[in-house]
Amino acid sequence: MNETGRSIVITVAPVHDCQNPVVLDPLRGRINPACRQWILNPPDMIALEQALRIRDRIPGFRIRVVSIAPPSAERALRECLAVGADEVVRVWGEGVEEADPHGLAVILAAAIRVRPFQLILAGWRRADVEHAQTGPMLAELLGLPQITCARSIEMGRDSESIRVEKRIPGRMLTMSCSLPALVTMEKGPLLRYPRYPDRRRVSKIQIASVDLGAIGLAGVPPPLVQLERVTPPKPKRRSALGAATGMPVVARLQRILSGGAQAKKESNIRPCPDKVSTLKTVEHLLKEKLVLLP
Amino acid sequence: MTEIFAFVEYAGEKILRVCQEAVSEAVRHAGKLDARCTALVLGHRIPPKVLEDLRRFGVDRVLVCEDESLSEYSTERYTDCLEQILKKQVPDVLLMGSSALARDLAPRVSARLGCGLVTEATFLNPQRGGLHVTRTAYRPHASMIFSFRDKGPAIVTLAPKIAEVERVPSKDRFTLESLEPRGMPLSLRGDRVKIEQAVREIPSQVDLADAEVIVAGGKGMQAGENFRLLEDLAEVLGGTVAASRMAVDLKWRPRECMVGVTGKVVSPSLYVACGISGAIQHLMGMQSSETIVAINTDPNAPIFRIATLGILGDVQDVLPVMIEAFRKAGVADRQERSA
Repeated sequence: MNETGRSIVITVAPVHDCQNPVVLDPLRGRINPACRQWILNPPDMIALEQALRIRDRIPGFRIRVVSIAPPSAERALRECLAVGADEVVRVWGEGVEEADPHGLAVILAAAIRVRPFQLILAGWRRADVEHAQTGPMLAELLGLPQITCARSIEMGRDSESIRVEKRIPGRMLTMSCSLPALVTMEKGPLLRYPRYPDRRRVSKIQIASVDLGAIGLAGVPPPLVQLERVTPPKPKRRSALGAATGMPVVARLQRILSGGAQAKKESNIRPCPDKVSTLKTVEHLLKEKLVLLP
Repeated sequence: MTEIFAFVEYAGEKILRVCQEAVSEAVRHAGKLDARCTALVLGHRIPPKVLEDLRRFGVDRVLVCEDESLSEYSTERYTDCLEQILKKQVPDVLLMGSSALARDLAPRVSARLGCGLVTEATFLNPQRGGLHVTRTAYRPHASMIFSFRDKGPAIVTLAPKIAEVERVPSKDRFTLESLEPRGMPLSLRGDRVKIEQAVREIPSQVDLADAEVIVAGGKGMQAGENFRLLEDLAEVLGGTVAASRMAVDLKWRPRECMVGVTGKVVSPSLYVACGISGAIQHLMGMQSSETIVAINTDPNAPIFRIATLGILGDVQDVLPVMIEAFRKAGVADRQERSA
């Protein structure tokens, strides 16, 4: 361990790569595990880059990655070591994949509490399920102040406080906070590319798995929300076929009979050669809530 | 189910749109379930207009918690305050609009009270066995349906544009209650996070990647001067002006506002494409926009294929009428709200 004992913790989640559609198991109402393709959560990688930049400016920080990940994600987690993280802790145990966001926060809190730290960085949400809950929950469980959806972080020279930029609608905020604290990143520079020798160096490293017992948990905490079912999304309401479109009945019937396919291209085009038709279109835009006035 | 809370945020004198939707949704469910619907407003010197407006949504009760410490949002103070309120009142559901504040506050309150939270809900289905909430995941491939363990209030944040905003005749039994923060052991400790600086953004100068509304012009605008029309439209809609590669190459607009593969990739909630035919390089930069309105003279323009609504006409004719109509609608909207 580093002598000064200063460390930054990054929580990294392996997420499903949404470039590949998930395959559902309709009987169980769950996602078919065979279709899973793990990547490291992109917002978490932004957080890792911020930590690396802090260390570039103020050397001496130990960067510790904590991840709740199955053994198959080990290879992806090595990437964190290759770009410069000092340590990767992979937590896994029975039933972890069924944990809800609160359960994950409890596990992370237990794993992080083991060692002292100055700062926890995380992505603001998982890119696949998009709950955006675990960060603030983790801050609450550890009793830390939090700043969510940050754009940039600057560590004070004394390493006792941070300055964070965050955007809320209509305003750009500059906030300061004493450490320890938790910050979730929304946007920022992407993770650097690892150097080839570093990648070679880490390729042999075994990432040790920590089970729940080792961090003082008897098991996965009971979920606060129960996932009942995963279903295919509901098809979007086809307002183009509804009576509200104001089209003549025959035209609508034709469109329904044709399956909407052929007519769809023209269906959403409104000719506006004169003022009256333009005004009607504006009315339609407002009525259908396509345009919301500020 | 006996009580539904709706959390209300306001900016100036106006209730945020997502919160209007949440309040409407709460009123609808409360009506169906014969439950009481309460709007909860936190703040300091809450404008009377906000409270008056809530009456028109048809809520049964407005619960107001006013204190100087709540004038600016702070995670820790608001969490403390909500914790106190929810421990005393214990509604079955706390419905919030999915705003920047809710994203920060809801998980924290959920962890504090140990009660369940579902974010970005798209559908609420109260059943005998409890509340079932649907949300999308693995966009756009799946929906997840959650239920709550029956401990404390179920917290739900409602995704934007899911619920209709409805104003109903005000009820006779409408009551306004003030919570005495002095009566509650509200810890008025300072938040460890301090806001040092808050810079107000002018909509037209917002970075394109952050803009909620983008009005873009292409070669069909015919001259650089005509972009004044787009600036007017952007002003009315509270948006930012962008341009296609053609318009940038012709030096009608600066390179920073180019949308497309070589420019910026944007996904605003509204994208108005004026005189843009929609080359694939442009479409790649904006196709994930929620609503796309395209104005073009060519009915075969590729932009119409992805447009939510296509307007077949000349921008020079359509835009002035459109700007005027939106301006009028905006004034009428404001008058209705203030009336």
